[in-house]
Amino acid sequence: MDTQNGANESAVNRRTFLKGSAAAAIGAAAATGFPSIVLAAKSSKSYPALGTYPAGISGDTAMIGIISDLTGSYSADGEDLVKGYKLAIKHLNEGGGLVSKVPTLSGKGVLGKKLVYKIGDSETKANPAVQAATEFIERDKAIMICGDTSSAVVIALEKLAQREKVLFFAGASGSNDTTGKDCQRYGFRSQPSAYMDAKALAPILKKELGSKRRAVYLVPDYTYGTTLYESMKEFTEKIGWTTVNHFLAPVGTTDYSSYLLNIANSGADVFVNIEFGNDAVASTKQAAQFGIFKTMQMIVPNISSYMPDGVGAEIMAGVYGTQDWYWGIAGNKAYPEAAAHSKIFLDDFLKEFNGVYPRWTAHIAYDQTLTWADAVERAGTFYPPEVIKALEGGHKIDLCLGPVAYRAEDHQQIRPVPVLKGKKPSAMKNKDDYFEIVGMTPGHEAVPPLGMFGCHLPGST
Amino acid sequence: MNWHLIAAQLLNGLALGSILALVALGLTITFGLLGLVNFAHGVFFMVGAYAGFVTFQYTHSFGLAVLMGALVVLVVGIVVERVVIRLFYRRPPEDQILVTFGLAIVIVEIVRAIFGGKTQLFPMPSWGMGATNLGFLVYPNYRLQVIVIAAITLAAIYLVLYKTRLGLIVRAGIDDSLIVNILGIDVTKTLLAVFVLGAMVAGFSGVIDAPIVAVDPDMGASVLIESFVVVVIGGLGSFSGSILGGIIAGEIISITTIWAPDYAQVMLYLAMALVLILRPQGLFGTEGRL
Amino acid sequence: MMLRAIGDRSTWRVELAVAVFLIAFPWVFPIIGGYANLATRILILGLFGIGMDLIFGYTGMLSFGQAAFYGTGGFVTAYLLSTGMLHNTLGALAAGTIAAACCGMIIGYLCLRQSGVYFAMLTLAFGEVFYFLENSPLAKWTGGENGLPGLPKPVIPLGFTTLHVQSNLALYYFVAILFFVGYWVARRIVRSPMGAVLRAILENPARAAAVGHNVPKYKLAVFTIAAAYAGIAGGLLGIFQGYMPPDAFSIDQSGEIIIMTIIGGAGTLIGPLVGAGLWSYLREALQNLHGVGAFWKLILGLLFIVLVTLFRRGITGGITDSIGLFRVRRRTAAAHVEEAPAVSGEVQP
Repeated sequence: MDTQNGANESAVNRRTFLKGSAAAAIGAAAATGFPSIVLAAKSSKSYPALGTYPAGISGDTAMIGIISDLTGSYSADGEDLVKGYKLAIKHLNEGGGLVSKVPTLSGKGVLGKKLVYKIGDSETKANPAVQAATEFIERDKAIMICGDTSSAVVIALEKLAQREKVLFFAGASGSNDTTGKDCQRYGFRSQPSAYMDAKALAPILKKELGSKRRAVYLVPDYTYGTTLYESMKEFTEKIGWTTVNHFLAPVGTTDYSSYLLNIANSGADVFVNIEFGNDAVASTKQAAQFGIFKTMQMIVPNISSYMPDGVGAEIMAGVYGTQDWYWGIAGNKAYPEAAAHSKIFLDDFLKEFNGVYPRWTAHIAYDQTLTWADAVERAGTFYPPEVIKALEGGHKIDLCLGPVAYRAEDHQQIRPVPVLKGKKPSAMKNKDDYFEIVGMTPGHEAVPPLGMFGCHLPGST
Repeated sequence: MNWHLIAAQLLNGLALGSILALVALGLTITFGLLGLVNFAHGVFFMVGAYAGFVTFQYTHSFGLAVLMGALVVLVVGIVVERVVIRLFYRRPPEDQILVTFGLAIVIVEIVRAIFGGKTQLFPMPSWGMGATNLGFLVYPNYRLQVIVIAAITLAAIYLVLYKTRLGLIVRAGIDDSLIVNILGIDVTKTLLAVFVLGAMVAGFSGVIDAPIVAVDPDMGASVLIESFVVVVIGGLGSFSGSILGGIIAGEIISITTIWAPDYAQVMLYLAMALVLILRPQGLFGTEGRL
Repeated sequence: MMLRAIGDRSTWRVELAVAVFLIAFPWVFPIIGGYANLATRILILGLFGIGMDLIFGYTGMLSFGQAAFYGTGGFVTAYLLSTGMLHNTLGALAAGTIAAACCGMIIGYLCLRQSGVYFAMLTLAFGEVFYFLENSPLAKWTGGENGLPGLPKPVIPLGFTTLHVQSNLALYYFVAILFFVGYWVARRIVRSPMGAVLRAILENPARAAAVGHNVPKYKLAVFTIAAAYAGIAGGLLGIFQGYMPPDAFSIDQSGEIIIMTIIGGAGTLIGPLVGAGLWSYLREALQNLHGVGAFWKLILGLLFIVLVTLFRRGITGGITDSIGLFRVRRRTAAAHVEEAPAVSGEVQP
């Protein structure tokens, strides 16, 4: 039996080898250095087989594997995410939208390949997500995988992508670990990290709420919650706030009353709610019933896409927080760099999906898919290490938020962070007009110093 | 230790327990009277909340929402019983568990297909807004009102089942279907009536609970499990037991949260296991039931 | 029941057929759009399901907490491998399996005095205890909601050489060998005197006790064995995907394995594999079908209801029953068996 160190392995080579020697198949290890019988890509340069390259682009199409929540408690966010991917893929194939604003993109596919996609249901659980990603890679030879709405799942997918040597673009993931200690050469994340959210928020909180506040936290018990809590604690304490206490609640808690009593009793005057999705809705509704907002100001450092829909504008009014993107940026004269392109995305999205407004999850999907396509075009190949180089080169792409780029050292996108404040119901212009934008912290001011969260990118081959 | 907080958590446990007892009531009926382990209980609860949500959208009346929540689930209950459940009364409890488990999956996905997965806005009725200062804590009015609603509902169901002729027939039909058949009463209708009553009460409690929790297609899942806890601790078929079961469950969660929030759920299920091991008929159930 | 119908002479033929199937599966599966990884996943669930079948199909105990053992086996194995405390994959798997079996023995001891609904509720309660323990209090070791990533691919020292299982197909055969061993052992169990006692318990626990069998002892033994099957399957899941997911502990997982066992046919040992295969295959096929997508769960849910309502004995049971139609003598024998539980049904609480 052959043994090998795992480097330079190719699914295609293995399969071909094993087909020819079924007898050796039981318990077989992969073949080392077996001559490549894979057809070289049609591009001018030829690269060795790696991951799903070149098997995934041997035909006229290139396949994108989308992992999202079709069922389960984040299915609304998952649906929004999928819409973003669908629109991006449509524009890349047929032209239109921001594709016409990016010089490298032709609107006729990517490197001449028409993009196709499949969607796998993660059911808001890690195991089905990993299963879907594996099937896209193995069965469909997906050249890129993307998606999901939970940091815990995203980190699992990043590690899978690194192992399988297939590029992965994170959907909604706010944990510091995603581009910190769990960062991967094959994983990219555009959403602001918890640190960036906190750092962007802090100066505005100081300005609006003063520097002598006492904060209490409600924290979902997983990587997203705990890292966001730590970052918020750090930056609010820097502006002079005191952290009174924090309470960890399991994901999926339905009744927060016992936590809320502790919070009401904490003596704090600011309630920082880190819960996400339905948990954010339930905890906030209940906090309102406990009268917590009579004595406390609420801050939601990262506001879930559908939180305002679930709790209503009355409660969201006056709440401070951040979102990856908010449709109100579109055409907003205060933010000229982002206004025009956000408007194009918003208009196309409204047209494509019959007047349904995009949320920030759709924005992540749309922008990242275009960013990937641009990198492939610039690299002139789908060969992952070259695409990674193109993404790490600091080249800025001008999409919804203005010119943005991934940081080479940890694959965090350096991008502005919109800081929002909930509008009063009377000030809302339409039923989706929940927020006003109170600030847009530039990316370079918000990003953590290099190495702060222990990112060491592994190699690309 | 902060005695105010402990007192507050004790009261909260009571209110939480009332909600749990109310939410579990539909299950108490079908489980206790029919011996039917209804894993679709949670989705009846959810369908009720959605029916109430739609009604509220159009009428802005919480009363109508509650009424429609109960009526819609009544209809759903009749359909489910006639098409599927009636085939399962004579089959082993395992089969009943399985088929209602399947029904739960299907109904959740139908609701998701119609309404999408997003959380729906279900506002508090105007009379439930605000909070009352009880001296040692400020507590939401609505949660205090739910204690009363739960008590009234339980009393009403108790009166229907134990003090009316209908209730007598129902209980007799379940205890000895042969004799009741001989007396010329259609037992299948009795079974239908009980199942539908259970479903309707679940739908009713879904609307009552909707202003507190997040209304989405998956909201029934945790309700189902918590209802099992309540019914098991209280004792099958015992109405007073289900109230006390709810309150015990509520207190366990509240009190554990003071010192070790991590263990709140663990303690709850350990208590459920402990009751099942030491006193399977429940703390207030009678031996031999089911 | 089904095994009795097949008869003793064909013992080795069943094993041979399973072995041939296991060898051929990854080569035949792609014809209908399957692939090696999915095949591996199906075998892991099939192995998990053998344990479920031993307690439910053969002994009549419906456990709603098997995920506790699936998760325990998985996380112990994953912890040992991902922290580098053990490099030998089989060693870590063995440790995980033993841990799951020990948990099974303790939980089983506490649960087995109850039957029917009480047993289902009690196992459900313990399943939830394990789930919430994993989730928060034990998060330091289990990664909590994040699970444990970073498991290396299998390394198996054989003394003279060390096997590194790298490719998907190799991984499949690694799991297939363990599945075959698991299946073989389970068949030995159900065909042994112990198996006969288990069936006697299924048909009428009171009678089984009356003729002098130590019913609790047998129940505990089979429950522990089932936990071991769940444990090894959980361990394989982590090894297979390089990541141990926290939802292995969830009540959904317990429910899913029951569904698979019922769809495939309880009381057949191979049924859970058939059920897992059908469920997993349809899940993927439906998701990729244009216009179906998110409705896959709805369709499978309906299919499950139909199966539970009409085909009590699942697909495998249905097939063996129809084969039985052509063997008149055996059908009569089976009819006797079918009658027995109907009589005992009245005795049940």
